Amino acid sequence: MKAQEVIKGLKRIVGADWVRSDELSRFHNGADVLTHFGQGALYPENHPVAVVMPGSTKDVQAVVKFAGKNNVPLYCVGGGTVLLVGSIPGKPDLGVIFDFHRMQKVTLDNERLVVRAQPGASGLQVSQFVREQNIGFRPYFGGSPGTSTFVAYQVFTGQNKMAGYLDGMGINCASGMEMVLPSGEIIRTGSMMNPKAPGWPHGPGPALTYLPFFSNAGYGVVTEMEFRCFSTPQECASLWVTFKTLREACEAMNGIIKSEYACGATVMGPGCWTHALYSGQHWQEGAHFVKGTQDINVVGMSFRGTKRKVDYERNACIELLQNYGGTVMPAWMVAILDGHEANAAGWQQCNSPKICGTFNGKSDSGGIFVSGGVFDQMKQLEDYMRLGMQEYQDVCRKNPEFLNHPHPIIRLYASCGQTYVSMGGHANAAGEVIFVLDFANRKFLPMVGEIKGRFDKLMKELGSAPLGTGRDGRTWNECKDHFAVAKIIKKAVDPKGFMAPGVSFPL
Amino acid sequence: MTREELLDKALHCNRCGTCRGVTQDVIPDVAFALQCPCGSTFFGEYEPSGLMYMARGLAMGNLKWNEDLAKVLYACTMCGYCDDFCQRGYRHTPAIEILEELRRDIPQKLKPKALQKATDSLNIPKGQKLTVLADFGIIDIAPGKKADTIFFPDNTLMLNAGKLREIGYIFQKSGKKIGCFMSDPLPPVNASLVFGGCDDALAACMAEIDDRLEDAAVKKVIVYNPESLSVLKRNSKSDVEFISITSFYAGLLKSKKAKKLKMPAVTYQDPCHLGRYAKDYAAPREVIKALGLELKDMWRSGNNSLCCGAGGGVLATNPALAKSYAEKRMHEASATGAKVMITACPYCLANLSGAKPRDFKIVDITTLVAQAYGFSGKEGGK
Repeated sequence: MKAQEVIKGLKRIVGADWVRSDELSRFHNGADVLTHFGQGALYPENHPVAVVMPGSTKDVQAVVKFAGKNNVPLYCVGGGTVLLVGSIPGKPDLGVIFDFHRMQKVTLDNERLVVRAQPGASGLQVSQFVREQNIGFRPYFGGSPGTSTFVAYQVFTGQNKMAGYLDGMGINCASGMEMVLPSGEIIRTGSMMNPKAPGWPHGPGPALTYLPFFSNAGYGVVTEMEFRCFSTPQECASLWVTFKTLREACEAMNGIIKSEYACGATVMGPGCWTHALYSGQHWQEGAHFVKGTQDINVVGMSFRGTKRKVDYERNACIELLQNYGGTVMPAWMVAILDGHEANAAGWQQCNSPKICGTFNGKSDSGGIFVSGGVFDQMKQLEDYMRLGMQEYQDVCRKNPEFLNHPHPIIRLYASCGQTYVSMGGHANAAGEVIFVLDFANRKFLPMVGEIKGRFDKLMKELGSAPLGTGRDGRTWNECKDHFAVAKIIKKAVDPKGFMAPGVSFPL
Repeated sequence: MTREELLDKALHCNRCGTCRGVTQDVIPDVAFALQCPCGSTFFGEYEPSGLMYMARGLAMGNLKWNEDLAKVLYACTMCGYCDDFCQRGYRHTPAIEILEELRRDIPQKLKPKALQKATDSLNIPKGQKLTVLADFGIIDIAPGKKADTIFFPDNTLMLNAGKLREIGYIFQKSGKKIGCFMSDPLPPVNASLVFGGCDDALAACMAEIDDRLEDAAVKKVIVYNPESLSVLKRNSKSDVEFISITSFYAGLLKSKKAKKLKMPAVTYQDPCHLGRYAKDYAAPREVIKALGLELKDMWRSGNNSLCCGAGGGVLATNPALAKSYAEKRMHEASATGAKVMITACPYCLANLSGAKPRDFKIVDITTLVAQAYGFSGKEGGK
C-alpha cells in the first residue's frame, strides 16, 4: 500500500488532526538519543511513514485491523518519552507509529487499591495522583519521572532504568491489562477480567499479564493497564554489601533468593553504572542500585514492613552475606546512595543524563558511547568484560591524549535479569553487558569509533546478541528455549508479522 | 549561534518527558498534572522535546524550514517551564536559548504576519497619555534632567489613562520621587522583539535605553510590564536595577499600611516573565497578603505555574489558540474555589479575561493596590 493511501486510511479512522506525516513528526519519531553518534549511536535513524494518535481502544482496534489487512507495520511509543532501544521502526520509511498522547486517563479504584491507566500517562502523573492517598506502587524499573507508565511497546522493557522518583512502577506492579491483538481481538487479563476482580496479576482473568512484556508490541498493543498499589510501609531500609568478585556476589545473591528475605535483591558487577533510584517508601520489588561503583561488585536489596520485621530481616541478611565473603557498606556511603531517594524531581543526583549524552557545560561531558550485548552464560559475560577492557586500554595506549583527557571513565555494567517466556529479546534476557564510555570532548569521537568497532567485533566472536532496534542480526542463541516459545507465540498471534517487525522479532 | 552550537545545546534533551508534567508532591487531579500549553494541546512534536528535536534536525541538516515547522514553533508560548524545570535537575537543556535561536533563524516569510511586524511594537503610540502621571507629581525626564528612580511603561500602558492614574496615585502615596520619560518615552521594549527574532532592533533599542538611563543618572527602574522587565534585565548592559512594579508595591505595603480589601478568596496567575524569567514569585503573594486577601493558589503555581497562553506572540498571531490555552488555565482557577484571579501582567489579564467563566473576575494587581490606598477613580484630573 502506498504511503499516501495509508495516511488517508488512518485519517478516516482517527480524524485528520491525529495523523501526522510531516517531516518533523517523522524525524521526532524516527530518531532517539541512541541514533546520534556521541550519544551511543547504537542504530541509525529510521523514520516512520506516519504517526497516529488514537483516542480510544476502539481507535486502536480499527487501526490494527486496517494495518493487518494492508500489511502495514505498526510500532508503539506509548507517551513518547524516554525512547531508547526499540522505539523506532526497524527500517527507514517503514510503518506507522502509535503515539498514545491522547490516551492519558488515570483512575484510582480505592476499594481494590488499583490504578488503571492508559498508555499515554507518565509515571509521574500516576505517582503524584496516588501519593495523596498514602499509597504507591512497588517499584521495579522506575524509569525517569516522565517515562510513560506503560507503553504498549516500551513499557516495562525498562528501557530507561536510569533515574527515578519517590514511587516507582514496573512489571511487578501490573495486575492486568487490556490488549488489542494483531487480529483486532481485544483481550483482558488478570485483574481487568471483570470490573470487580481483585488486583492479582495471575487471576481471576487469564494469567497472561506478562505476555507482552519485552515483546515491544510484537504481540499486540496494550491499551489499558492496571497497577496494584500498596500502602506505605511503616519502615523501609536498604542494605548494600560488596564482594571481591562478581562470582562471589552472584553466589551470595543466590543465597538471598533462597532465604526469601528482602525485596528485589540485585547484583551488579564492577564499574556498574547506576540504575539509581527505586523507591524506599513503596519498596517491594525494587532495590537501590549503585551509583558510581567503579571498582566493586555489589549486592543491594531493600526491606519493608514493620520495624521489627525490617530489623530482623536486615540483620539476617547481613549475617548471610558476610558468610559469602561480603562486606557491608558503611552507613555514610549508603547515605550518599540513598540520596537518590529524595530525588523526586528525577535527575538531580543521578548520572543518567550523562549516559544520555548531555553536552553539559556543568559536567564537561562530551557524551557517551555505548556498546554491549546480551549473553546467556556467565563465562561469555566475564570474557566480554575482560577482553573489552583490554581493547579499550589498547586504544588508550595508542592515543595518549585520549587516555589523559579529563574524564576517561569507562563503566561496565552487567546484570543478570529475569527471563520471561515472552521477552522476545530484551536486553535483560539472560545477562547483559554494556560498556559505557564518557568522553569529555567530541574530538575524541574517532577513538570512540575505534573502540566501538572493536567491541562489536568482540561481541560477534563471543556469540552475543546485539542490543538495539532492528536486531535482525541477532544470534538467537541465548535462552534458546525461551525464544523458541516466544517465536511460537508470535507466529500464533501475528502470523503476518506486522506488529513491530525488526524490534524484538526480525523484519 | 552556529549550527554546531545549536546541535550541542539541542542534544541535551534526551526526551525524558519530565517537563511534560508538574513535579510536586501531589496532584490531586490528574487533569492538572501536565505542563506546556502547546505540548498538552497538540502533543508529540509540539512538546518541548519536539521543539528540541526540531533544533537538532535543523542543525544536522535533516530538516529544512517549512510551514509545518513554523506552525509548531509559533504554537509555543515560550513560557519557559521546560527550561526552568530542566535547570532544576542535573541536566540542563537551554530550551529558551534554543527557541530564541530558532525564532531568529526562521526565514522571514515563514514568520506569522504579526511577528513580521514585531518592531512595530517599538512605536510610541500617537496620543500617548503618559503626561497623566504628571498630575501625581511624577517628573518628566526631559533632556538634561536627572532622577534616581524612574518608571518604565510599555506601549500597552501608554494609551491607558485609567491605569496610568492608578499607578500615578500609588507613586504619589509612596512619597517617593519618581521620574518618567513622558514627553520623549524610552523605546517600549517588550518580548515581542524576542518572539519575532528581531535581535538587531532589540540591540539598538537597548543601546539607546542604556545611554539615556546613564545620561539621566538613573539607578533604579520600576517596570510595569513583566515582558519588558525580563527583556530589560536580560539585555541591559548598564548597572541600573530593574524591578517589577509588583515588587515596588510589596515594598511600599510593608512601609506604608493600606486598608484591607474585602473580597472573596482569590487566586493568582504567575506571569511567566515575572516568575520564571525574572524569578519574582514572592512579591505578588506578599502584596496579596498585605491587602488582607485569602489566596487559594492553583496547583500549578510559582515555578510550576501554567502559562496563560498569551506568550510567545501567540495572543497576537493566533488569538483562538491563545484563548484555548487560557480556558485550560481558567479550569484550574475555578477548581480552587476562588472567584477572582489576580495577575500582574497586561497580557495575562487580556487573555484570561477572554476565557473566563461569567462568574469569574480577572483583576490587575495595580487596581487592587490603588484601591487599598483609597483610589476612587476620580483623582488625577481628567
